[in-house]
Amino acid sequence: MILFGQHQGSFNFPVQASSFAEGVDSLYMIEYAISTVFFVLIVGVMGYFVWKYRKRPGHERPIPSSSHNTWLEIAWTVLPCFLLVWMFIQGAYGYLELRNPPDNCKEIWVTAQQWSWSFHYPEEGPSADLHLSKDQPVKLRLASSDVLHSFYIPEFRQKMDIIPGRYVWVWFNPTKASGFLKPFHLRCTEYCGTGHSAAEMSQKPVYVHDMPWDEMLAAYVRWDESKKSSVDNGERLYKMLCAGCHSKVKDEKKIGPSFNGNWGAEVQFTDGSSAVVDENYIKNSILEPNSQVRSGYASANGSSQMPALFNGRQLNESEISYLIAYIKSLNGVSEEAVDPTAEADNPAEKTDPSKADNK
Amino acid sequence: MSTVSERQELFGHAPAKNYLTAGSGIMSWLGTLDHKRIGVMYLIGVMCAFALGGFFALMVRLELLTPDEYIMSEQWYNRMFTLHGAVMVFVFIIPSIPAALGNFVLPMMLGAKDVAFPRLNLASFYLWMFGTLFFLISIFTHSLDTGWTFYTPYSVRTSSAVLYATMGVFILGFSSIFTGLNFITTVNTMRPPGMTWFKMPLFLWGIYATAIIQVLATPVLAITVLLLMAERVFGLGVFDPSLGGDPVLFQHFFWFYSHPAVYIMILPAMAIISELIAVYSQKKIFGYEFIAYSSIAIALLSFIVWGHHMFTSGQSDMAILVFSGLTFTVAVPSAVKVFNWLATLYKGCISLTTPMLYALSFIFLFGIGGLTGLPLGTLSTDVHLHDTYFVVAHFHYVMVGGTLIAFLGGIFHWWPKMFGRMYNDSLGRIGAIIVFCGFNLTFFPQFIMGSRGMPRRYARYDPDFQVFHQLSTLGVLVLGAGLLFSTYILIHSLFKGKKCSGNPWGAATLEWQCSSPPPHHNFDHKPLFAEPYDYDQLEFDEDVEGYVFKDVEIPESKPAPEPQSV
Repeated sequence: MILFGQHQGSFNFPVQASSFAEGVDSLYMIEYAISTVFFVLIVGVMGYFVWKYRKRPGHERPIPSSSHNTWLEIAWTVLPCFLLVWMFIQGAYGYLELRNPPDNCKEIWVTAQQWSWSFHYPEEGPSADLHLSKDQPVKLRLASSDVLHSFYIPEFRQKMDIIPGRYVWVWFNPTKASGFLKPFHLRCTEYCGTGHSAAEMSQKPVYVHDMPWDEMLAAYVRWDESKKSSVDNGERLYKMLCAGCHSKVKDEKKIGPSFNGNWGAEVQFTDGSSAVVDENYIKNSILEPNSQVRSGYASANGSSQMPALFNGRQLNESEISYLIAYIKSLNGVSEEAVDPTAEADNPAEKTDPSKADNK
Repeated sequence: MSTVSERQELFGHAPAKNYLTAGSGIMSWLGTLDHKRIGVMYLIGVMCAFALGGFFALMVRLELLTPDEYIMSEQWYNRMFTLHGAVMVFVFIIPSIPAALGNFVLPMMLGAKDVAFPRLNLASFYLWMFGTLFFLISIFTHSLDTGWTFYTPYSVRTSSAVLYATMGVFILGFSSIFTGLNFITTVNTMRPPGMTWFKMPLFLWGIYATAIIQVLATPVLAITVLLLMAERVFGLGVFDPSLGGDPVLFQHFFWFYSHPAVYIMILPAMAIISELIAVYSQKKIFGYEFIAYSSIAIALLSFIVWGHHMFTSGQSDMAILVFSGLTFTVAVPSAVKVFNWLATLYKGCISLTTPMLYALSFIFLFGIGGLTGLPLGTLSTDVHLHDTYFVVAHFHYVMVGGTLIAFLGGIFHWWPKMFGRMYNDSLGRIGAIIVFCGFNLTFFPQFIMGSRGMPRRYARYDPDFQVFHQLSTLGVLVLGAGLLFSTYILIHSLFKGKKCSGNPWGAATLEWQCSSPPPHHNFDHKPLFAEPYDYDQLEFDEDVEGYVFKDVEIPESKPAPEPQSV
């Protein structure tokens, strides 16, 4: 096997970062080996016969030709069954392990929506990113606020479809720390519409920290709204709810318009009217997305692609205000503006949540 | 021993009047009840559908050349992969072998004049046309973007043309049911004297097993899409949880049809391979009864393994364990067929003609497709591989490497019978090799991508996977070139091909006893029934330029009773 280096995993697999990974990979490799043996035999025998019994002058096939051999046929029907039963049993054992969490799991609530993920730690409250502790098993309660999604972290070899209208659970025990620059990724694997492969849905970073659970929570998850600026609160909401469809890069078109670059400008709607982007426009877009659909962003039947509910609820007044503050800061029109050019010029910072979260 | 002129008459070139020249004008085709003409119309139709589905596939692969936007938005990408899957599955691959080749070959293999219900047969073709029309409407109005599986609740809520497409699926389903019904009746009632069940050509066993699935499984799909339509139009709560429904119920209903449908695709392909391997080895098929029973076993097992599409869907663990166990049983009859084909080659007299190259490709590719089913049936590995490119590669190896390759092999095998002209076999072989190489280059990298964690249905992806996607896109260009080249060879032969005799390959099934192309009523002489794989009775005749019976007793007479007009 070709190795691409430790963090890259093997040729066939991503890095093994959970307690399941080694078992799953080795069972796969055993089946791979068994299959290879069978395949080489089949193709080898085929090639040999085709060459040996090729039609050529002087080659006569025996007449009458053989037509069956019952014992041989029974043998090649029955013998593979033993291998198949072995594979089934191995797979079933591995599966039961994947499905049965131990008692010392910490719980996290995960909500998937079109098209972003959000997380809620019972001890600390909501979080924009998924932070885990190495060697601390976690049990995730998965919910969807709209259509089917699927929770898949390849490095953990664990996957579970998320079904709207009910909770499902999934567990794993991360055994490898990820570091900030090379996080693992949460990828949606059940098609969920336009933004199924948008980065927020398909490449959501998963951070595994090499520190105890409580310290990890205090360092990365704890968030006291009252002690943060409106812009910081807005940015956090943006990452939890908006980033799947709206860019913060100037004028970058995603499923929805960018949050950066339109403030104060006049924008066109599909019904021919227009408006200036200001506080009222933002609020109206969040609460009544269908009342003003931006030209170029409508869905196939002309309606807005913006969900009316986020995580199954309407945003409240202070949350809308935080978002407006954040949007203004991105556009450089607020007094408490962060420097928007620095943000755009340094894309590495986008994947570094320590700046936003670790304060 | 018969005279040269008698042999010429029995086995030689076609008389001036054959089924192609029996009537002229477009209406003589559109209103025909002749199974051969209906088969040819299906062939043209499904090849057009294949070209359309292939165009969508090309768009998908081109977009995936780069991790970010290359030629289309995410919305358009989602439409392209949906239309690729839906057109290929419902419009092309399900009708391909049974409706096109089955229609042409099945009655002649039975020595019959036509299928049991010729009018129903024509009706099936028009249903296919109507269903396809609805699909085309759905393409040109708010293109479908649900994936070919129509999973709820997304398909209930999306603004795209789900209604037109599901109506198309509904109508195509009836086309499939009627074709199946027709074939079951034909095989049951119209076998010639002496052709007992276990003396039927294996192609008929395969088509018969397929027809059973078509008749029993397709109604479930029809009901499912009707419920989906009712939910969209009337707000009836069946599948959408916000209306009180259950989305997993839809998956059960859908796969209860669509898993058997996988075998609607592969069983006729295996049936073709059984014919090709025997004919081009000039040797009696090995283990006839095991192959025949394995077709029936696959057809029956296909009804009880649907849950393996739903290992991560939130079914109960017990259901999942049971479905995994049952899934492994399907491996047995499939493996039996492969071993029997290999044993047929043993001590044969093998000609590497174009159809034979396709048959050998099938064994290679279906071998990979089948064996990669093992880690997908194994539960713990499937959880990782489910809904990744590993699955995409696996089912393309089965459906394209299996069904499409067998379909091409069948076309090249029966082409001289259909049109009375022989194509350039050397160029045909080159075409087959290009298709084989292009196919592997397209889909093999997807296995590696998949086990490394690349999910399906992504328009944008992690740049780590780019090299695999690029190889795959390169492969699809080679594959497309091979397919275009092979099509060119076939079409070229219609105009420039050498005229061929009734039995140019030395096959022993009955359809090779009439002239090429066959007369309007198939057989001018009552066919001489013999074992379908008894090649010892045939010999090559220079005068006829084809194979003839060694000791033929010219039947008493005169052409079979004057055909009644149809």
